[in-house]
Amino acid sequence: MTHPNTPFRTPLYAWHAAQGAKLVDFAGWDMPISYPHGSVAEHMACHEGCAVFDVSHMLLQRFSGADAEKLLAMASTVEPVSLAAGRAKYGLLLSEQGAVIDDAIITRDPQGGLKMVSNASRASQVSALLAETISRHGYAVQLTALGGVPSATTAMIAVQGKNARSIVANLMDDSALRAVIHALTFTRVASVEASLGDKESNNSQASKQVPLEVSCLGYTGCDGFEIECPAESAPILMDALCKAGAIPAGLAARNTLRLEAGLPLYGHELTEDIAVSTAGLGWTIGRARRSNQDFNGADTIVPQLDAPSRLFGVRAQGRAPLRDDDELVFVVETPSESVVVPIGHLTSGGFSPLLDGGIGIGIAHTEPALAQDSLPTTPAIPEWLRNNAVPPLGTQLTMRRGKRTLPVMVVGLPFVPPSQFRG
Amino acid sequence: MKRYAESHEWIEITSATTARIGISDYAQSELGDVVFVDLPELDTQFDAGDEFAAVESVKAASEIYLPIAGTVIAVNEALEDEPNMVNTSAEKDGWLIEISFEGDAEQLVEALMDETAYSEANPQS
Repeated sequence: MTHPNTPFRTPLYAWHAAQGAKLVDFAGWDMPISYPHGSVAEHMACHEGCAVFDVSHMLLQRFSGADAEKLLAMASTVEPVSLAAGRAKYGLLLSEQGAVIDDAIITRDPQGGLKMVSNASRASQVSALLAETISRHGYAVQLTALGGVPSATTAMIAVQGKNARSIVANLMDDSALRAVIHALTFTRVASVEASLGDKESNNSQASKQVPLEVSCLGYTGCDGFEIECPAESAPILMDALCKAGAIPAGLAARNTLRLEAGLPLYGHELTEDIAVSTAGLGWTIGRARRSNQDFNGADTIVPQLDAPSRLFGVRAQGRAPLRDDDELVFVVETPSESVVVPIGHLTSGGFSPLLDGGIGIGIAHTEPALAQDSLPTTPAIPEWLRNNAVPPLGTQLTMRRGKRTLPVMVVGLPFVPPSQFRG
Repeated sequence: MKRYAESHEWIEITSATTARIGISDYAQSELGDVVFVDLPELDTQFDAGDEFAAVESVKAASEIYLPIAGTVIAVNEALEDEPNMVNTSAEKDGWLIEISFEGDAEQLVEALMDETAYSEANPQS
């Protein structure tokens, strides 16, 4: 996506540059891909300590007006009526034709307001979807972009990892607020006030009370929070978090962490051409919504929801990384020949610092790559291949990329078990 | 004598018939954390410009080209366990291979850049 005034800069741009970050263009934003520690150290900090990510490029919108709930109910898998204050829910944004336009977190903040965070790379498509849905139904809704726009009033920082909870709690002077943070379970949202600035100077003016909205969420599979703060306070919040032991982490570590956690990324596991069920995300559509079919694309999506996910994990032999779009084939050995059967490709391929090797998320072709009658008539053809099913755990496949090949094995997702705090 | 290729390899002539090859410090900083290095078999012969290795970072796989023709006489086996040495010491301990070559070294590397020309062409931020 290109914009007339790209690249955009988040409220933390100068902070990243001062840390020596390597900045790259990501969806029209100048974002840190890594800092001088390197993305592997940043990744491991999340598992062993605490990593902080600037996610202010993501589109953060507030929805107000009489039909705010109706709009989100129509355009997403989430039913806002059933979302209590201080709760957040993951969902998909859907076109009238049933295509997945983006994935998003929809939040009812502790004050009752409705907000949504969606991907920077899909900002224009999300805005178009919402505008179309509003005009088609004549909804009365006001959208306010708080973050992920050039003149953002709000910054978003993800604080993730084993020590995230104690580091965030210790930003509060008030012991009752610290207790709120310690008790906050996955998908819960709290409004708090942090005391930021130089606490050691004994100068009360050096310390500043800053309102934060803290959600127990993340994109790493680890415990932690996503924090909204006033844009102008973002640098002192980052300073306070890093002083407490968090290390700044860039987009490269964010991607290796989400891949280990088996979390989908739009443009990879999610596209307008991959069905909700194929991506294994049928669970985002609850029972009531399935029976009421009261959302965009329901007549297309609901009848497909019983179809199994076509995604599966693969682990490469040795330490070589896998890459996006690597081809996966299954080799059938018969007494007379080796038959190479294309199975699918990797929607995401990468390297797991924790497992010290290549991992990837594969997608099985929907249509059989070889006609049934062209398969050799031999017991060497496994049942799953005859049925065009997803290869079961333990299946040995071969990765092909140009002239390179590598043995890979089908494994379960996620690669690393999640460690969010669920109470 | 050490020279640099436009494709970011360095070659150091170590004797009248041998040279050591690696990737530049600039190249490793562009690649990010190196997690895997795919090195050739000993005794493999390559022409100038042949792809002889791949250096893979978290972000991308990068093909590495041989600046002059030669035969592999050594590979840096330490990179198997510590591929990250390409980051920490790209132009020293993180070397990739050693080759033997035929011909006059000066002439073979004539078209390559010296350190000053290379760093002018690739300023490090």
